[in-house]
Amino acid sequence: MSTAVIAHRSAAALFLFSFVFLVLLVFSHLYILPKVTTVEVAGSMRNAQELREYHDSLLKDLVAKEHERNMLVLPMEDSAYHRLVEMKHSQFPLLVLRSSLEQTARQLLPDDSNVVHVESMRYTPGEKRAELTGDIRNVGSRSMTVLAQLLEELRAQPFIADIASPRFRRVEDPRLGPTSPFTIRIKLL
Amino acid sequence: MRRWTRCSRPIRTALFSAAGIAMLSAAGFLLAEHATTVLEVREVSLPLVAEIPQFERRIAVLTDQVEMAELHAATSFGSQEESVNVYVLPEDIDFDRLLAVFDILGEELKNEKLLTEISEITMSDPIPAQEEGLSVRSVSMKFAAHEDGVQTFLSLVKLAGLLTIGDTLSGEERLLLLQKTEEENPAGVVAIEQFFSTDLLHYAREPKTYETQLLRSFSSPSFTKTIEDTLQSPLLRDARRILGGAVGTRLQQYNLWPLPLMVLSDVRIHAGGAPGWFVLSVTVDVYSRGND
Repeated sequence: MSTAVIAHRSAAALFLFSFVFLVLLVFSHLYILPKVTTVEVAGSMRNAQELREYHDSLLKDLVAKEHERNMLVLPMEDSAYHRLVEMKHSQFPLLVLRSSLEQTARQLLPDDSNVVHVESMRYTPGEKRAELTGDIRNVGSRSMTVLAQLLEELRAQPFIADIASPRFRRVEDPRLGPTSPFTIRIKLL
Repeated sequence: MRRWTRCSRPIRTALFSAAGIAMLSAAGFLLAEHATTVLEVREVSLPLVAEIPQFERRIAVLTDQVEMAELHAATSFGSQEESVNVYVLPEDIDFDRLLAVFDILGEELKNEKLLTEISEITMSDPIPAQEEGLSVRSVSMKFAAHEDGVQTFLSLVKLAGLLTIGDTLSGEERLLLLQKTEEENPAGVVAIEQFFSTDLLHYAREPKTYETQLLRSFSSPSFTKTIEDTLQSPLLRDARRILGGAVGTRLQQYNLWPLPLMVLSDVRIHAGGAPGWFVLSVTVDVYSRGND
């Protein structure tokens, strides 16, 4: 049997099969698929696309209603007054900041509490900045190393965004011996 | 005739084959459409169908809450707005009122031996604030105080300008309470609204009265626990301690409440002469609505 005859006989079979298959699929696409893939929600049948649109419209309504309710319960929400109050809330409490910094210094050398001496602290809440002034003392010639360790510990604190590296220097104090004075500038989160 | 048949056979074969392949391609496309639709049902429709009833329920609850809240809101908003315009962000800063607040605080802390004299208080000229329509003056002072005195001073600055209980709570705390109300007792929104709009000084003078009134509207232990946690927020605790004590009594007595809105601007804290004592240089921004 030649190739031409085989091709001729199978072409008719291919045509018939494709025709029936296509007709069935068109029928399914038009009548069966919509029936099995739509869901009745809020009184009407919806396909995936319509469900997504309905879902989005509900979400929009929900946000609008929530906003309306919040505006009634918290009436000054959109005012300059409210924004100033929020600014107050966002300020880190000074004494909490100071005690956190002191605790970090204490953890550095738990056996010796007189190593990190904080002379003063300046806090500018609006700029989220703090400045610590003091010195490292009572550790002899290791004072600069301890200062570097203190900086590392402070950088690891969750409320600190950045610390500008201070000048590392050692000065000889007639009463305390070698000390490393520091001014640490901190940017808070 | 034989010649024609011999010629038309390959043409028919080609036509059948081409039509068959075209129909198969169309069928493949439709099959892919079927697969996509079924996948969409599994990945999109089913999760949405699970979420939609919750959304519809929440919208119904929120609609009820809006209707209930509307009844009380009109009066409370009017009085709050008036207090803000007259006392908290006035047209002109009333210096006598402002200095009287620091005098009362200084005297009470001195009585408790938590503060030495407050140095002279200086006030800058007004400059426009970042917030449009507002101006700000810097008020600076210096004093030595015990740690507890420093805490009281800073807390009073933080409370200055806050009118209601709602103002002392953070946005997250307020939303958490509102969401809990939706879940536990939607009608309780009125009680929450009244609690939020309660004057802070009145609450600090008699906290139990207002707390009991609020808790009466909710019975579930989880809501009670949320309320109790909220009532322990640091600022509300400070309000009860400071405004509920001698300072609050005198502020009420001299009609100094509500306080003008103050925001801590700059503070320098030095170790003091005795343990637990500090020397503070404080600058506070006081806001007003006028351009002075």
